[in-house]
Amino acid sequence: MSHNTEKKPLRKPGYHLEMMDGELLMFSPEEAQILYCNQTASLIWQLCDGERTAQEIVEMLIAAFPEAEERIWAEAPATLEKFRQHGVIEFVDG
Amino acid sequence: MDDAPPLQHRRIALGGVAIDVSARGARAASLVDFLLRYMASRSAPLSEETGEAPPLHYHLAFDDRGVATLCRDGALIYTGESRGAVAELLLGEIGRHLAAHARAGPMFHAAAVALDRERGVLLPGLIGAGKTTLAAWLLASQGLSYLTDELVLVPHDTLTMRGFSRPLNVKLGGWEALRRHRALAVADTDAEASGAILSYDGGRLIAPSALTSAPIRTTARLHLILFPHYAPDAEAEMEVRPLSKAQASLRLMACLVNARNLPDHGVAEVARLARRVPAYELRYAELDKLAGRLEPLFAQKSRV
Repeated sequence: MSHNTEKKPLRKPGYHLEMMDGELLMFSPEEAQILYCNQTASLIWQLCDGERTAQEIVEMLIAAFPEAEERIWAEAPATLEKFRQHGVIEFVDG
Repeated sequence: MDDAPPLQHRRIALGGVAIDVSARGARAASLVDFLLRYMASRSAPLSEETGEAPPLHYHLAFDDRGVATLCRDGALIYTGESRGAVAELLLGEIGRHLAAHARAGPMFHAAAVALDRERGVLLPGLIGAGKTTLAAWLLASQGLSYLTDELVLVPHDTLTMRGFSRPLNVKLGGWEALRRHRALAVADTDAEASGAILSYDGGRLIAPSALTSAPIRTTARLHLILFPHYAPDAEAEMEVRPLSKAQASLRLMACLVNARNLPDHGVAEVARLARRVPAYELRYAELDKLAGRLEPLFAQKSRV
C-alpha cells in the first residue's frame, strides 16, 4: 500500500452522486469536475468512511470477492491514490 | 419613394432562446432561407417559454457588387464576397448563442436522425468525431430523417429531442469520405448547381433534401444513443461497444454545451437520459462497412 496504513480514507462532502448499476459518477459543482468509478472503485469509495484504514478496506473487499484478490491488490491502492488526487477523499488519523 | 429592397424577417427559437434574422433583398433572403428554412419560425413573443432577454438580432444584406455584410445587434461582424463564408459564420454564431443561453433542458453537441415518425437516434460527439458525416450517410443510404448535425435539446423531464435543423456542415475530410460512397452521388455537382450545396473554404453546407427524400423532422423521441468515432486507420472495420449507464453519462457530459445553465450542471438530467436510453460507442473505418450492421441497434427496445 502506498499510503500510511494507519491513515484512514474519508469521503469529502459536497459531491453530486449518481449511482448506476453499481457504477458511480461523482460531480463536484465547485470545481465542475466529474469522476467516473467502475463497480470496484465505487465500492472502495463507499468504504472510505474514515473508520477503516486502506489496508482494512482491501481486506474487506478480498473477503467479499476472494476470486478477485489479485486484481483488488492491484487496483485498490491506485484507486485510492486517484481519489486523493481528485480530492474526493482525504486521509485522516485513526 | 423608398427603393430599398424588401426586408424579410425570420425568428428561430430553441431551448427558450430566440434569434431574429433579417435579410435585405432577394439574395440575402434566399441565403437565409437556405440556412434556416427547417427551423420553426416564430413571430410571437417568447415570454411563456423564456421570460428572458430579447432575441439576438442578425442582419444580412448584399450590395450590387455581391458583397455581403452581416451585423450582430448592429455591429458589423463580416463583410466579403463569399456566400459560403458568411453562411458558415452565421450558423456558427447562432449555434454558439443557443448553446450559451439554452435553459430549457440539456443541450448536446450532437447530430440526430429519426428512424420513423417517433424514434430518434442521438449521435453526440466532440469536434472531429464524425457525427455530421455519419448523419449524412444515414440520410443518404438508409433513408432516415434529419433533425440536426450540431445541437440537440432534450427539454427537462422528457425524452424528446429538438434539433437545430440547419444544412449539414460537412468538413472537407467528411466530404471526401462521403463522395466515395455511391449512395451520395446525388450530393454532387448537380446539387451544387441547384443550390442544395454551398461551398466554403472548410467544407460544404448541404441541404438535407439533397441526401434524403425522408421528411425533415423538428422533434423525435430519444430511442438510442450512438457515440460515433471515425477511425480511418483502425484495424477493425467496425466495432460496436455497449456503454454502461455511467459511461454513457460521462460521455454525454463531455458533449453537454449548456451545463452552466442547468441545476448541478445537468448531471442529474444526463443521468436520467442514460438510465432510460441504451447507448453504444460506434467505431468505424469506412462508412460502407456500416451497411446492414446498425439495424439491430435501431430495433432494440428502450431500457424502461
